[in-house]
Amino acid sequence: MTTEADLSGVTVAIEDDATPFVRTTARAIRLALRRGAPLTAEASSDQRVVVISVKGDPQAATCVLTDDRIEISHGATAEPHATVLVDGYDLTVDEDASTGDPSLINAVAGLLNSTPSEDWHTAALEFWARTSESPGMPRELVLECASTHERLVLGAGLPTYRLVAEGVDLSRLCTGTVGFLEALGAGAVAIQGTLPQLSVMSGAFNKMRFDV
Amino acid sequence: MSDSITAWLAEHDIREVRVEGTNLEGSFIGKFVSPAKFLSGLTTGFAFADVAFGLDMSNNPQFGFAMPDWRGDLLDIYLHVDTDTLVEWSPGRASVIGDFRKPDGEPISACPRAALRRMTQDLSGLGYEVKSAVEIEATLFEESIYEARSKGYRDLTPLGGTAGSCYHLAKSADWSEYMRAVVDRLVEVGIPWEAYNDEAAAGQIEFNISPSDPVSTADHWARTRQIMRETAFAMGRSVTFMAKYSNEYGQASHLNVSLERNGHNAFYAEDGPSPVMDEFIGGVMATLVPATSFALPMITSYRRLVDLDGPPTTATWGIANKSAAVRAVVGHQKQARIEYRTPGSDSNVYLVLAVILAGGIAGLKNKIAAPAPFQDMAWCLPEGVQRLPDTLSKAIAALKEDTLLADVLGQDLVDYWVGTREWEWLQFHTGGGEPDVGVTQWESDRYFELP
Repeated sequence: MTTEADLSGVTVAIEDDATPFVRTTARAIRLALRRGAPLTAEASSDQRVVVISVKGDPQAATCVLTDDRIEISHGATAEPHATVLVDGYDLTVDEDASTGDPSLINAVAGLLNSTPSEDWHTAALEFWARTSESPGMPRELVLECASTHERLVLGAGLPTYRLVAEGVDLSRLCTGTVGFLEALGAGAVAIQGTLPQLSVMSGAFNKMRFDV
Repeated sequence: MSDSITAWLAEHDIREVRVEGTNLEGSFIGKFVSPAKFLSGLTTGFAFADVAFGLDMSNNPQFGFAMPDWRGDLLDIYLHVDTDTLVEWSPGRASVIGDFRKPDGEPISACPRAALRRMTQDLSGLGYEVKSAVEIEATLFEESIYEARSKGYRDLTPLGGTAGSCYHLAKSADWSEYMRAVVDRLVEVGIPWEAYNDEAAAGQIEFNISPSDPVSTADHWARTRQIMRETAFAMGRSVTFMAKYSNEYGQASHLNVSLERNGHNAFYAEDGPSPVMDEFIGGVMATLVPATSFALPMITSYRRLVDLDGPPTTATWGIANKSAAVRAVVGHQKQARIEYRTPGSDSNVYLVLAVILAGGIAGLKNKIAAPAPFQDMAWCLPEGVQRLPDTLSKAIAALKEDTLLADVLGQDLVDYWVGTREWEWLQFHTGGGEPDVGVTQWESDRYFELP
């Protein structure tokens, strides 16, 4: 298990050699806890087991929740207290399609879909701090809000790379809430740079999404 | 040379030439060119888009890593043919194999054939000539490839029957007809073969190609597989080189390697490994775990690693020990060699041979003594003996921690390989694959026909 104790006092632990879905689920929960999302009494009263499954996709994770620890492993365990269905794009919980303990479903939804508290500038700065030294990264990254044309320039020099999206999408990208290639495919972001830079940027956003 | 090739083309009435290479995934790729275009390309090379080394086997671009200078916005790379490999493939069609290079003529870092040639040359610089051989395993099916596709590559009928296990001669005649047809084609094309037999799983066969220099060994491997596919197509059958196509026994691609010096087997000693063989094994064992992803490159590759099923599961070597990852054959002047038993039938022989030689070079240059040979059966062991990585992600992690292999093989090649393997891992998990349910449809769709 890889563990990370959070300021919230809750430890989020994932299995060794974790799958991408386990990794991104842990990322979402850790982010929510850092933002102050509570691990509600309903979720933490005793050991509670929740299966999180992706709609239309075999990806799944089993979360074991106690009052100060969440353990996440791949696959769906039998007889959980709740099964939560999420959208693979951004982990949006479909509460109507989920089954089991309603309060537990609600608690997990609160962890997976916590409202972004930081603006896209803050998220971008954290993204840059974590990825700018990776091999092949552009020296300068320009992020631009599509509707306001507000720009944030990170780093300096050539080569440069430009990302244009709505502020909320920039925030979701930079926190790993959505995948870069998926956002590109959905038309949520426009890019300007070379194809090799697309590869490198994809890896950088994967680092945020999957911690790889 | 061009004049003699022009004459050869005319003499054989060649109307098209298939220029061929093997990409990083191990797929045999190429183009068909006219004789005139072929002759003009002998000096310039033949242009391919750089994504020939940047698409996965589901035809998606591989992203997520830094790219070397020969990758760009669909830059051209050039296949430079090795005219020593020019053969008449079939009436009117010639075939020739080459290496991929940058516009300035320098090999691209990810070209497996160039990497293998470089390792062979490095050993030559140390005074050794390399002798190698490959064992090709595959599974044959009664169904045509059209039928296999329509069935999603599932529930196919093994050719030759399902009774027994390996070495059985009581096969139905269709099995022999196929194998004889392959042999006939090997002879026509000039590929020296030694033996074939029924293998452990139903429909599974093994082909042994004669020992040669490493680049020729790998060329023979690529062409033999192409012949097996073409023959299957012509006879209305299908063949797969998946490491495991079902829950039957998997299939391997064992590689045999020895070094010669002044015409003598440098691995030979009367009573065990020679000092050269000891250091070569020392390097191979020091790089065995980091090299795992080269030998087991796909998701399915790891499904083979089952104790007692035949493939090695531990980082061990032993004398005359086929349960270990490396078997040493000793005490024979001609046959002394190592057999590298990890690779799956889905591995790229150019690349794995290069990796084995890189390990050996590291051992010789750094005078790495081989660990003690493993004396027992190397399966089902209690804790204490290192196991091979059993997932692609673990194998990638081991390679990323390594410096010994990368120092010899080249960091650029290793980095590019790691990037493509991380992509493979991500695509499996996010694209429909499941880790715990046996061979998935995702794997059948991706790996049955390629690489």
